[in-house]
Amino acid sequence: MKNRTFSAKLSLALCVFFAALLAVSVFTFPWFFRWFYIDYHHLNPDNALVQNNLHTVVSAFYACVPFAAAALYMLIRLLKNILRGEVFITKNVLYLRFIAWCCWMVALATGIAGFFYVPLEIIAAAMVVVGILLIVVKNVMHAAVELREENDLTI
Amino acid sequence: MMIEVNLDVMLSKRKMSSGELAAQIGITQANLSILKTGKAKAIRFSTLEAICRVLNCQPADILVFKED
Repeated sequence: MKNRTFSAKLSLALCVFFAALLAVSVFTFPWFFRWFYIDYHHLNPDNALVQNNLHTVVSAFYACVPFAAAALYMLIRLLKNILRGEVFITKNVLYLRFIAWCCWMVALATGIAGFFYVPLEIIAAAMVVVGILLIVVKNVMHAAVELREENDLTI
Repeated sequence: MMIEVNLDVMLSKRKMSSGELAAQIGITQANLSILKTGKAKAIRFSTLEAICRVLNCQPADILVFKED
C-alpha cells in the first residue's frame, strides 16, 4: 500500500515536471532544436535539406503540443484519483481512453511529418504502440470497474 | 422476469424498523436500502440467512420471482 502511494506520488511529480518542461519547450523548442540539430552537429544552416528537416521537426512538435498537454493533464487527474483511493471508477477509464487517443493523434501528426523527415516515423510507431497498450489497460480497467460495481451491489 | 425483495412487508409484519434490522444483521443502512429498493445485483447466503433468522421467516417470504 505504502509502495503504491509512493509510486503514484513519484509518477505525479514526473507528470508535473514534464508538464512544466512542455510549457517551457513551447517557447524555447525552435531555438533549442536549431542549436542541437545545426550548431551541435556542425551542419550547414544554409543547406535546403537541413532547413527542411528543421522546419518539419518544429512543425511536428507544435502539432503535438496540444495532445501532449491534454494527455499530461488527464494523466495528472488520473494519478490524483488513484492517490485519493478512487482507482476503479468510470472516470479513470475515460481518462485512459482519452490519453490513448492523444497518443494516436501524436502518431498521426508525426507520421505525416515523417514523409518529410523519416526519423519521425519512429516516434509515430512508438506512439501507436503506446496507444494500443493504453487501450488494453483501459479495457482491463473497464472490466475492473464492472466487477467493483457488481461487488458493491452484492449485499 | 425479475426477483422482487419484499423486505418492507416482512418488516411491517414484525413491526421492526430498517435501522434495527440493519444493526441486527450487521450491514449498513445504505446497503439495506440498496436491497430494499431492488438495486442489488446479488445477495450473499450469509446476509439472507441473517435476515431470515432475525425476521423469523423463510427466504421465499422475502424474495419473490415475478414474470414481466
